[in-house]
Amino acid sequence: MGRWIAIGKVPGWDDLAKFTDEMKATAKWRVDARTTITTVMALADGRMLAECHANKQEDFDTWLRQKGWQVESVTPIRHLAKTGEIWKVS
Amino acid sequence: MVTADELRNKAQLYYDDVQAGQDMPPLVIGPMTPTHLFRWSAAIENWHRIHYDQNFAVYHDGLPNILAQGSWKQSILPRYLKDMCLPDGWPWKVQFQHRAMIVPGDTITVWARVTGKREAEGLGLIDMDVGMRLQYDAESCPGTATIVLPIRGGRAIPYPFVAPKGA
Repeated sequence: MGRWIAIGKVPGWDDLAKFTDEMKATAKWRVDARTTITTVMALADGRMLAECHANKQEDFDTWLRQKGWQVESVTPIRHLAKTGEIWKVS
Repeated sequence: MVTADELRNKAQLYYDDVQAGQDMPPLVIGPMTPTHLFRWSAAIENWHRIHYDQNFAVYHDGLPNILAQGSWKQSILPRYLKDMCLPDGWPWKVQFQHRAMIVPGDTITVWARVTGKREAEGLGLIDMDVGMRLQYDAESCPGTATIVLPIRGGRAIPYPFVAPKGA
């Protein structure tokens, strides 16, 4: 299984209710047994970061297309540091 | 979710009332949360990090999230069958496989479909396909079960349960 970060733009995410509507329900991020959107961040400048756990990148691409967001890049994660814990992701 | 009061006052299901092909009332659990998983880990002292440490589960073991414990899943189907049999029936046998992982956010529908019924030594045996289906239609725990229900006007099911010979 792999892990990718998508960077892009989503209009309207200043509104927490809109963000919640797009991401709260399990079906919005738990796509199937092999594809899970693990993190989505709405940045203050209108950009977004989305992290996906999936069998292949095409599964993430399909989900991103369905969302209709403006995606600039989708890139595998190599290493990750989270509050002092270091993980080799791929 | 079934309440304790509902179980205490539950009407007996009889062998006579169950037919092959019948879908039994499902039990819906969830959406699961990390709190559900942690509570089970604490209760049975299962401290594997994949059940409570999200960073470890996701970034070390490459999982989609922390995982519901296999032992938790093993407790749910017997509970479902036990509730179905109360107050005087007996959940005799169940076997199933562990397939799709269950993670926080998932909603589980525990189900049973009657595949056959037979009488043995005055007891009503109900054979069923069983499982735990996830919200995206994956089957997490496919299996089979046999419960024993009283026959109207028949003898009581013994407790402790004594299996009919040759059944």
